[in-house]
Formats: sequence, C-alpha cells, structure tokens
Amino acid sequence: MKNWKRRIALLCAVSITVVLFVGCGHNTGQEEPVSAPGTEQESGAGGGETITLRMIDSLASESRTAALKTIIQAYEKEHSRIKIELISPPTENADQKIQQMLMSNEQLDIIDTGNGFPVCLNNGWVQPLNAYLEGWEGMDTLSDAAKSRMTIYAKNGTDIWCIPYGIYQKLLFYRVDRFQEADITPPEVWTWQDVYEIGVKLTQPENGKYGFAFRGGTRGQFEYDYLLLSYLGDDALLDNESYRGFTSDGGSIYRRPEALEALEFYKKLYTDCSPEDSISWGFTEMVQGFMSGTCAMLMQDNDVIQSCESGLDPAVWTAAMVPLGPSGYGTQSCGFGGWALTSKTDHPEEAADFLKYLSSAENNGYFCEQTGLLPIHTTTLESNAYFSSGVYNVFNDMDAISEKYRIFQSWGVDYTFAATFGTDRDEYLQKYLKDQVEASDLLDYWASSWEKVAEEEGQLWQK
Amino acid sequence: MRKREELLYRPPKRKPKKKDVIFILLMLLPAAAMTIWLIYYPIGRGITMSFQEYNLYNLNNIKFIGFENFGDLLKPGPFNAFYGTVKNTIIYVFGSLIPQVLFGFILALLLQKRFRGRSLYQGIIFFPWAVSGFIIGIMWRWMFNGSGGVINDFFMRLGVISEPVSWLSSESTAMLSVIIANVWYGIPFFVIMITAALQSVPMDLYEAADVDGAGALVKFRVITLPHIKSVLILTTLLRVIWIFNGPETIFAMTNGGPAGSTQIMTSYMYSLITSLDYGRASAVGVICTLILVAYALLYLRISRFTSEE
Repeated sequence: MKNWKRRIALLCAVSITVVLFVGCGHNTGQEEPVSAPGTEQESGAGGGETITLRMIDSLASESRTAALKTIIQAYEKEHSRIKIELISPPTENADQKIQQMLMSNEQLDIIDTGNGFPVCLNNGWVQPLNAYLEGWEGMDTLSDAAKSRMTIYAKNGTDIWCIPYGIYQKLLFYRVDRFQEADITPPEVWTWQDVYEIGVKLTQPENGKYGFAFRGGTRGQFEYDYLLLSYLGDDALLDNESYRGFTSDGGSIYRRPEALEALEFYKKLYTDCSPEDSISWGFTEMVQGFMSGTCAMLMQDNDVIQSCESGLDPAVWTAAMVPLGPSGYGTQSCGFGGWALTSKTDHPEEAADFLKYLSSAENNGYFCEQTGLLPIHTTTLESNAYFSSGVYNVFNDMDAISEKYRIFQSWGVDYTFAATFGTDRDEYLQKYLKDQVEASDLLDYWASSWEKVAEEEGQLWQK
Repeated sequence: MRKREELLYRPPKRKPKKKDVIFILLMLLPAAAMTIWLIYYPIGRGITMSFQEYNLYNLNNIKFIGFENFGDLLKPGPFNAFYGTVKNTIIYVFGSLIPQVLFGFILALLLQKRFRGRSLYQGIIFFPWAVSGFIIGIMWRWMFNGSGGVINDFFMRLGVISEPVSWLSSESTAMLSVIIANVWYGIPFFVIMITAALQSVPMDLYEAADVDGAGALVKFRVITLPHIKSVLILTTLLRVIWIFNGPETIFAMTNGGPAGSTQIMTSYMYSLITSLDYGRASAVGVICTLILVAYALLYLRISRFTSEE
C-alpha cells in the first residue's frame, strides 16, 4: 500500500515537472507551422470550415472600435464562412502588445501599423500586399497622399506594406475669441514669425493666458524636427523631395546652420508664448490647453477637429494653413495609419479580401467620418459633404499651394539606432529649454551620433 | 550546566538509502522546476541580454557585445543620462523613506491610544496602501497641476503664493512633488508594521517602568525601541528596495521630467524598454540589482541584524 502511494506521488511529481518544462518551453520563433486556433470545422449548412481572422488595433478608441465593428458585422453577414475577431488593446502599450503577439507566434492576421510598424517590418512579421491588390478597383480612386503612404516603408520603392485607413494632416487651430479680444487680424498665409509675434501679444501669464500650446513632453522632439524642415534650404535636402536626416554630402542635417536657428526659435516659442507647464505637455494637455482657452494657438492633426466640434462653440475657434518657415516652405505631416497583413497568417487571401472591403470608398469614408481622419479615396473627399465643409476647406487651400509644403518623413528607419535615438532626446530638449545645455552642444551630439552610425553601417538612407 | 546543543535531540546517524534520495529529489523536482523557470531563468536571461546588442527593432541582429552596454551607460560626458538617474534615485529613495518612517512611527504611536472610532481611523490611514502607485501618481499629478491644481488653489487662498506654481514643470519643485506623493503613499505601510510590532511589547514592562518613575522618553528608548528594532530594520530595508524598484508614481506624474530631474534608475530602464533597447535596459537592471544587494548586505551589517533578534 505504502509503495502504491509512493508510486502515485512520484508519477504526479514527474508529470508536473514535464508539463512545466513543456509549457514554459522557449519558443524559438522559427518557421514552425502556426497553429490556427481560429480554424474550426463546422458541420453546418455551409459545409466548409469557418475561418476566424484576428485583427488588432493600435489606436483603439470608443468611436473607432464601434466603427470597425459595424463594418466587420456587415462583412460577416456577406461572408458566412468568415468570422473576424477585433482586438483593441489600450493605446499606451498597443504597439508592444502587437510585437509580443507576433514574437510569440500568436495568431494575428491583420495588424494596425501604429507607431511600431518598422519593428514588424525589420523582423519579417508582415508581408507585401502587391499580389493581393492586383485588379482591386479601389486602387484607381486612392488619393496621392494614400498612394505615397502605401509604399512609404518600401526599400525597393514598390512594395506595398499596408493599406492606409486615414491620413493625419496638420492644421494651425486658433481661438477666434482670443484674437478678437486682442484685436488681432489673422494673416491669410501664416508664417512661423506670425505665430511667434501674435503669440507674444496674446501671452499674459498674470491672467493665465498664453499664445501657443507648446509640446515639450513625450514626442516633443518631433515638433522641433517639423520646424527644422521648414527652415532648411533646398540644398540641405538629398534632392528636392527627399528628407532623410542627412544632407547630400552625407553630413547630418543637425550640422546645418538652419538647425541652430530652428532650435533657437523653438525655445523662443516656449519661453515667450507658452505656459511653463507646457515643457511636459503631450497631445492631451496641448488639446486641453487650447480647448480651455489657456492657449490661443495649437498645431495639431485633423483628429482634433472632432474634439473642437463637440466641445467648443463654433464661433470661438477655427483653423488655418500650416505656417511657412524662413525657407518659404511649410512642413506637412506624413501621419497616417494603415492595415497590414502578417507573414504568419494562415489565411492571407481571406484577410486581404477583408482589407479591400474595409478600404473601399464607402467603408473608409464611414470610418474616417467617425474618427476624424482624412479619407483615402478622392471620390469620398469630393462627394462627402462632411469633408468639404468647415475647417476641412483649409486642406483644399493647402492643396492649392502644395508646392509650398514639404512632407515630413520618418527617417533613419533603416538603422536600429532610430529606435534608441529618441530615448533621451525629449529630456535633452527640455534641458535646453531650461538653459542647462547649449544649443550648439546638443546639435553636435545629435549630428555626431548619426554620423557615427552612418559611418559604421553605411549610407542606408540612399536606398 | 549542560550545553544547549546537548539538550537537543539528535537522531542516530544512518546512511540514507539511494532509493530514498532519488525519491526525495524527484519529489522536489516540480518546485525546483517552477523556481528555475519563474525566477532564475528570467534573471539569467536578463543578465545575458545585458551583454548583448538586443534591440527589438531588429531581432535579426542580436549579438554578444561584451561590456559595451555598461560602457555606454557609464561613459562620462555632458550627454550621459545615467549618472543623473543615480543621483535622483538616492534623493528619491531616502527623501521618501525618512518622512515615511517618521510619520508612520508617529501615527502608529498615536494609534496605540484607545479612542472612539479608532478602527475607522485606522482604516482611513491604511487606505492609500491599497491603491495602485500608478493611480496615486495620476491623482497627485492633477493636484499639482500648474493651471488648475488644487494645491495651487489652496496655497493661493491661504495667501502663501500670489500666482500659480508649476510644480511638476520646474526642476526645483518636481522632485519635491513626487516625493510628497510617495510619502503619502508609503506612510500606511509603516503604520501597519509598527502598530503590529508595538502590540507585541509586553505591557508589564511599561508598568514596571512607571513604578520606577521612568518618563515617556526613557520608556520609548529603553523599552519600545529595542522591542521593535528588528521590525524597523526589516521594514526600512524592504521599503528602500520597493521605492527603488517602484517608478510607477514618477511615471504617472512626470515621466522622469522635466529635463530628467525626476528620472530614477528604474524609470530610466523603462524608458529604454519603450525605445526597444532591451540590451541597455537589462544592463541598467543588472546595475540596480548589484546596488540593492550591496545595500542590503551593508545595511544588515551596520544595523547588526541577526536572525536571532
């Protein structure tokens, strides 16, 4: 009897150990066949198998998730074999979640490009869409902006890594009430100098009123980069269109004298026109600063339009074209979001078919109207009254002088260093704003960091 | 008098059977496997990564680079962020710990007295300990808000300040603000622990001291302190480790800013992780572990803490 108990105990101990080792075993991430938990046999009327596609969103919000679910339900109604599971993680760590799921070979068929797409691209977790999009009628009506963003990650210039679902473009929002109070007439075409001078006039710290909603917190570094691009002369760019952080002679863009001018102007905007608190402001605080009337001007993307429409009296706010810099050019955002197909999907055809449905003029128009993005089809822009009314007209004005705008691009993405470059950058810009670091030292530090990487790894930016 | 050891029962020595040894080892295996996988494997993996170029941005380029990650962190220069985080960590940890112990002690002593509603009062004091550090950070961020925060409003109504102070946006006040939030968060822990320790002090000692005519200070020094010394040593040791390893309040309040003035080592490690540089983040983690182990050994030695206390 005692022996019996001993054997059972032994068996249990060994089984638990084996289960632990197998369960916690390290997944090598090699090309093992991916199990498809979403695929199950169905013996119903259709006879075929039900396919579940898993799609993950990176910028989930209530309105966005609702819009996606409406489109998904309509698609599932038309395609009884297909089920689409939408995953909407919290935005703060959505990109990390996507990367972790792909790393651990969890089933994901469609991903949002979000802010972490280069990671997915560099690690081979996504696949080009070219073959799946052949003959897609939606291609004919795509706007130039959408087309250019489809291939923006392509090293060979032709690979389509995603279908954009909406475009973010910058506008200069301003408070009409504050302008009227101070008897200021806004210029027709704005320059950054106008923003500064008007900002100074509207700044009254003793009353808690400021001219400009400055972004000094998370991702504040890009505000400087946007500004810099409207300072650079044509000769500073690789060619008339390309901006890759390097000049045509291979030197860093931060070596240019304009880099110093732009940095000094960036500081003036903070010290003379913005709240001291704004050194740590991110997107939310900037928008709140504008909505509350604390700040009279705000440079932000079109997704702020919805917040203003719902939270402000139409008489107190409007938007203007992006200001031009001393170079005569303004900088327009290249912001967009898109859907990509993972390389690990077992159902690429079905996933691509859903992507095309989701990206049709009708569905994309509905999605963009619900989320405040600019649609990807020219037909929607022309036919949908929502996108040709109110401040959306400003985009048409900017289109009319499109040669005056340079498109900001994420550069350096071919280098791993691009991921680490930003780590301390917001912090050092804050130190510069607080007079703890000299502008020339800061620029030299950035320039030499990039030049060192380019020297070690070659000039990948010319690809 | 017979020695203590002689009084202890000692079973007769016999060589264990090989079969029994194997059985015992096999029975220990599940617990050992779990410990290895859940504790020692991640530690080993973290240490390995600290010697690698391990960037999630490009997993195809993982390689051993020796001490390069540590070298990058420790390289002196105007753009070295790491040394600033070490200084901030020391200020943050001890700036938070000392008021926590002091106020915790005072409140625990006050709670020794019996009064009406004591249980309710205890519950209210213990409440912050039950809330997540991140939530506390968000709550205090709004309270310290430079434009509409309640703290500015309070001081302006009192006439202490004439215009709003940008508490979290100025290097001179940001660290103080996060320390105040963390002190508020940590006091209940000391109240709980010291209250429990105080209840173990025999009351007859105080009564005897009263008979001898000892004053309150003498009773505190001679009776209270020696009895709760071991609890105080262990709780302060634990709290130092927790404050050191808990950047969530900072993360929620200032995210290490402005200009890195509230960036501590562990929040810096997190910022490296968000920029996908797992190699350097692991190097910071290894340095943190070494510092904490060295601190714990030194602290226990200085305080002459032994298990018999």
